Amino acid sequence: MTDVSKFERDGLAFVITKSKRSAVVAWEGVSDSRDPKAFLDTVMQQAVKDLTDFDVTIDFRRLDYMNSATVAPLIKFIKILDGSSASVLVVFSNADWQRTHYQCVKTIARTLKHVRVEVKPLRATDAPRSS
Amino acid sequence: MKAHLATSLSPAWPNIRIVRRDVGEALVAYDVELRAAAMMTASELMENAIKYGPSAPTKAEITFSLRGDADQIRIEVANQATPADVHALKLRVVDIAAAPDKRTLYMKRLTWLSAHPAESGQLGLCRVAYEGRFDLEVTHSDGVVTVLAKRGVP
Repeated sequence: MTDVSKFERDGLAFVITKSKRSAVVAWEGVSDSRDPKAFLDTVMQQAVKDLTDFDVTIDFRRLDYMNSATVAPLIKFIKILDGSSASVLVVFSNADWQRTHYQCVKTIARTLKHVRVEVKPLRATDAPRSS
Repeated sequence: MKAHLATSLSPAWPNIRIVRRDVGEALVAYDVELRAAAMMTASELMENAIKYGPSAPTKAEITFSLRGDADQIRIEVANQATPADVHALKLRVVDIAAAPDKRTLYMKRLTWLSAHPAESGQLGLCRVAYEGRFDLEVTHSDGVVTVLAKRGVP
């Protein structure tokens, strides 16, 4: 049995899918607001509350664009889940801009306990965009 | 291949999305990576112009231009700015231009920001140089600062 919740603001959506002890936090759309921190903090608080001791996958593959103001809160998001989850897998697509962020997160993940970072192309068999 | 876009916009946040879309449409014939890098660069420069430009929206339009040919893409964003803001921006761009390894510069700033969650800013231009692989220049005349980002077409 799966439990799906969605948080959405200004073109950015977080779709959290939980089943037993694992969960996927999918970022979808565009994060280009002036202060993405505020929305991300809200989602993060909910995620930490709901996903403590879960095996969490953070999936960026359906994120079409993010501004530089999103990057530091994104790292914070991963760090906080690293502290509360059993394990964290961060997944980027093979789009060029996502590969750049894959490299950066991979570097930062070396200092984190439970985080792995991967590039996985989106396949036709992957779940469709939530909207 | 040729692309041209020139517009003046009010410093309103939703205009950033419009510029990013228009740049994407103008560069549809270019390589997909270069096009995405130009869209990001246009977006980051517009954000800076709005964040650090004058707070009063009246008479404070931002001038945006994009020119692309077979050899190069040039993105220019001009806005009114105080001498202090111009000085800070020039220092930042000089630092970025002088850095032999843009990735190291970007990671240094990102690491600092992630260790200081209450702070923000100064990542956008590093990103333009590292992720976008655009070269940056700043000029200043009569209270207007112009940031030029340019990148060769492979």
